[in-house]
Amino acid sequence: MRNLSESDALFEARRCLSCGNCFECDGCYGACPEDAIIKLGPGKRYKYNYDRCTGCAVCYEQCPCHAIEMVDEPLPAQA
Amino acid sequence: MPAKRTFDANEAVARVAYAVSEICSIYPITPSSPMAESADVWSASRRPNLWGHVPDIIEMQSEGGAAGTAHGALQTGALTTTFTASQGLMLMLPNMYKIAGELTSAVFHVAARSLAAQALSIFGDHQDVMAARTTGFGLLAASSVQAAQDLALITHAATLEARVPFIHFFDGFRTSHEVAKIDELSEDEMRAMINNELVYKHRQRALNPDNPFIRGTAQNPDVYFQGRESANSFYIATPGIVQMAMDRFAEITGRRYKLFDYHGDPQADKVIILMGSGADTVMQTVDALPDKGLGMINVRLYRPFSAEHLLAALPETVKSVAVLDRTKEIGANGEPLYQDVVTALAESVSDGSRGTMPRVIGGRYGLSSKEFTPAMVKAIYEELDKPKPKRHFTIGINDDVTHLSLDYDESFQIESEKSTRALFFGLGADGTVGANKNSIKIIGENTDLYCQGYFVYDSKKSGSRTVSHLRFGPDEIHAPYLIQSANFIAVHKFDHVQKIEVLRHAAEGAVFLLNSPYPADRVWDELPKPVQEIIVDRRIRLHVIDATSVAREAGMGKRINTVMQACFFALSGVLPRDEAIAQIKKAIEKTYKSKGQAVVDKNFAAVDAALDHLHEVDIPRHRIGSRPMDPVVPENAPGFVKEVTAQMMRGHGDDLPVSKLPADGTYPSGTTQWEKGNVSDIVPAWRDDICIQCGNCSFVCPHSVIRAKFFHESALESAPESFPSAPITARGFPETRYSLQVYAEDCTGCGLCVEACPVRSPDEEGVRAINLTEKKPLLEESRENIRFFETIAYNDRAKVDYSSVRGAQFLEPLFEFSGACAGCGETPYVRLLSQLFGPRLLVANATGCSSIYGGNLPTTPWAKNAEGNGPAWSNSLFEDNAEFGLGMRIAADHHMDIAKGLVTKLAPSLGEDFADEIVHGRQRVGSELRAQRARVADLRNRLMQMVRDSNDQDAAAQLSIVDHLVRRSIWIVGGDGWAYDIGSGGLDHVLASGRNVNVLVLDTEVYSNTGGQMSKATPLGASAKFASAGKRIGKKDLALQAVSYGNVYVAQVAMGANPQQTLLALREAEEYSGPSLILAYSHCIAHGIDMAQGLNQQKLATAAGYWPLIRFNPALRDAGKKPFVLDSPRPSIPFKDYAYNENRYKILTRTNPEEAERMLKSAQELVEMRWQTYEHMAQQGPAKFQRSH
Repeated sequence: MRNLSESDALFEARRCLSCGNCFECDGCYGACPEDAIIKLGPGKRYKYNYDRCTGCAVCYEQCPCHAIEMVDEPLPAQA
Repeated sequence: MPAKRTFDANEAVARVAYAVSEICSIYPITPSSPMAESADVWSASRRPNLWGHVPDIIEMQSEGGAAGTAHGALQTGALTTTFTASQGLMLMLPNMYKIAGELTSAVFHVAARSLAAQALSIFGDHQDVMAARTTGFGLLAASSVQAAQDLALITHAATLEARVPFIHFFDGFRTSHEVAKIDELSEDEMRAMINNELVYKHRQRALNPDNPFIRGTAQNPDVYFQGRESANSFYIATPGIVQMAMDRFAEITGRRYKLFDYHGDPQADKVIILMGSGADTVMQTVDALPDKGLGMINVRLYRPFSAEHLLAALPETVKSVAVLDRTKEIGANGEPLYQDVVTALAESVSDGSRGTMPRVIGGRYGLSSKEFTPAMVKAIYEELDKPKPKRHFTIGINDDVTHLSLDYDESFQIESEKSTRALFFGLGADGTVGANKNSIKIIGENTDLYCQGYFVYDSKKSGSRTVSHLRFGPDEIHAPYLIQSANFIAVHKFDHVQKIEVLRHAAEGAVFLLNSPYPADRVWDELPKPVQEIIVDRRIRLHVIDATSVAREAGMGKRINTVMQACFFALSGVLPRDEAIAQIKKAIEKTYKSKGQAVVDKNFAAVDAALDHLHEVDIPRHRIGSRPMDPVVPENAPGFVKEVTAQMMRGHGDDLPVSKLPADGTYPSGTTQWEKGNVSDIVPAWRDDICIQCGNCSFVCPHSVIRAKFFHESALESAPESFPSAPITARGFPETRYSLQVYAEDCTGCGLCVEACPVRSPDEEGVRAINLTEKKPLLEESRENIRFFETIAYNDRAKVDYSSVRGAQFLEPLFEFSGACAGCGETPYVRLLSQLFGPRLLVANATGCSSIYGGNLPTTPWAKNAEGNGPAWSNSLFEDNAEFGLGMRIAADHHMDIAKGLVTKLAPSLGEDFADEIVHGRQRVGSELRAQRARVADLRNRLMQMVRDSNDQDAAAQLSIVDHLVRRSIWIVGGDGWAYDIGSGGLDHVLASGRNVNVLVLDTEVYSNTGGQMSKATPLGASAKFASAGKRIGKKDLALQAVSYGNVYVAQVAMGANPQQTLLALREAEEYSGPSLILAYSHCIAHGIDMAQGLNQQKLATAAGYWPLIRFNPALRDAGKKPFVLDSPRPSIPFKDYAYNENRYKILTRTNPEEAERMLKSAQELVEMRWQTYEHMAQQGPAKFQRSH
């Protein structure tokens, strides 16, 4: 492996998919058909309104960095 | 004195037909629909017929059905009628033979229209009725609005006595839609014409178990022939019976008709014979020409054809005859009326009953409402003078191929100098036509003047041009052709003056009223040179008003009609100015009183302000500028577009010679891109700083004017300064920019994109990432940016993520800039289809809105990509679309099989691996399809080489079908009128075939294209035409019907409720290897909504549970999963909260509140029941769903 130049390093960094780390691209927010995603402001990411969520998984599927997981719906007793 | 009323023929005829009928079985078809609509409205309001009973109106699933129902009702003794035209009449033909064969008294009223051959046309000629002339129905032709009303009654009276059924017809649009002041038939007059004894006899002939007999047997060679001949005596008697009815009518009303009405010099040597509205034109021209020896025959009764009556009407002195047919019987030795006249004359000469045979020539005229003018009539008489006239000529076109057409002097015209002839150029839906109809009523009903109105529309549903032709005068008006010489011309949209020759027909000294944003002292320099020249040469008096501002200031919004109407009355001199203004105000009061005094006052203010702001322009006669007319298409347009398409766009299509038109109706794809409609003054503008690049705006755009691309930042080096772009928000794409372009000149300003944008600016109240803004300041910059944007290639289809809305925005739309309404709910689905599958897409399109915005000339929206691939589109008919698409599938499969077989056979020379990849390579996703396309291109090259090298016959055969190796996507597209009604049987059969076809139903829940009539998709409680009292039966659940087959992929989608689910369903349907059906909720102007709220209504429809989003995928069942998926949550709002935003539901609350409440309750119950059914199905495992294959 050769060493990367500074510009190459920057370029490579941008190729990074930020696996698992949300960078607030708003993709999920724009994709949600039920308006179930609430923006919390820069740096604060999002929260979900589970009353609206239908579990369609669009947000999960479109997320470019796999920062969203689908989980089982909490049972009423636990909610 | 009989009452004078202003009617169009449709209303005048419907009034008579309704009064003398018990049952009307109906189906919508242009231009006859208004007759059926009137009958439905009258029946709903309990208006009685002559016998005091309310006729039953029943809408059927097709004209075939309407004719069948009519047959049944007639056989059961009811007086039955129907209204139709064109393809509708074609579907009635089988029943018509039966009805005539059984000698049944009946009348079908036909607004005669062209037939679909190399192209569909909704306009008028006699092709349809001529195709019915062999059925045994009599044919009676009316030549004017007055005659249409009168002959309607005469026909109903005659059929009862003759027992021969009749078609009563009049020219579609030219007569059916011409508004004229006529003598109205009173009920007493109608009663006097109908003999009740004959009505009772009609009933006695009916099927009746109290006196049973059998009718409709099957017969053998021994008797069928004689049976057919047994009716002869009835047909022999019919002409006499019709003439007697005409004579009785004359006694009652004073208006006299004959089977063959002769007009002109009793010693004529030249005679023209024809029927329909053209007869009035010939009659007037005969009177206007100074020549002696001219005559004409107006044929009223065409079938049964009475040679005896014809010969009696034709002067003995006649030397030459021209017979004109408004039809084309290709391959025949002449058109039908010509042949009948020649036969009649030849027989009489050979019998010795007539001395000499005059020379007879035949001509065609007026197909598809082609103009037929006095100038043409003059040319025909002149042709008859020639030593060798053309035996089979055409008139009104330039046939430079077979040279059959006659030349004529266009400048010849016979307009009455005593009349006002006014032309109005308006924009579709700007109220111009409505205001003109209102003006005709005002003048017609309050003065002794006669009046005539005719309205010409182009085919665009948004931003269309309308031209109103109004004549007013002291004498009866018989001028069934467009105004040839106008003494008043109004232009309601300033742009028109720069694009089209609005003054082409201006008379010397005409008044020209222009809605102009420029004041009287500045407007001159804004006019193109050719317009200035005509104004000076013909001493035209120009008046301007800024009607747009006046209307806005008076609180009327964009509706400038009242303002322009006031100016017309002030300037035209039809009525004294003060009286005219008083009459307008009276009309306003009448129209708007129910909406409150405030609305009335607003309109009054607009009228007064109009007169204050109307100014005459002082014409600088010696200052002619140099501004040319705006070009219609840009210089870089292809040759065909410049030579042919542009001529049509400019309004000069009539001048195109035969040689310029494709002989088989084949036209180039993607020509809308050359027509910059500039329909809207407001367009969306993109905010690159706050956009999240989600793709929702371009996803919902009905006109494909929002395009997105991503590209390497180096591309920006040559970008214009104003070119907007932003770093792409997706991760993993360094040095990549994103840009969104709005094609401002193609945008209709509907605002759906703004509604779909999820972004709210944190800093600016009400600002989104895309916002409507005034176009003018942006226009130049936008043109420059688009030019640059188009230099950037569309993103490689193999690199785009088809599975998300965000990804789909990068797919090139291959359906663009259609003429659909602003905010159309159908076209976003069609556009998406073209994006997802466009390069390998075949579309079978049912007749309807989608075939009109999809395929009506001059320009068409289905386009191709840079590689030359794109959707291949065709429209067969309304009723056969599923079958048409199935045929495409079978042919594609057949040729693919042959192609694969040949590849296998050629494998030794092609290479086994290569052949195997081509035959077995997967072709599911974009990248696989790209790979296959590359392999096929490679194969094509190799095959060509083989043919060149060794003339290999297998390779030559393979080349002819090699394209089929790329899997084709076949989509059957149409509206609910097709899928639920007229094409229902075929659709059902095609879904049951198991073949891999995809069906997209654009469900607007009404017949949108014909003006909003009820279909079986119309929901309970909604009002529509033919259901003016509200629909009483729930919508057919087509989804569940299809699910019941077990092997059909079924989805119900609503883009406004969930675009992602729409995308998923389209892709799943295409991927599924059997039949698929997608029902797509499409909001529509017919719903009575603000179209900008269309997507929100879709959302509410789903939220209310009225339109559940579902996907039923047999592949899931086969994989052991639950196959029925409910994609939308349980109803969260009452049905009312969705429905009562729409006028179609709301209207009943005003006209019949109690019924509305009852229907709302039923509708709510229906929604809940349906939801429970769906929810139950969604819970069932795969074992509960049977395989059907």
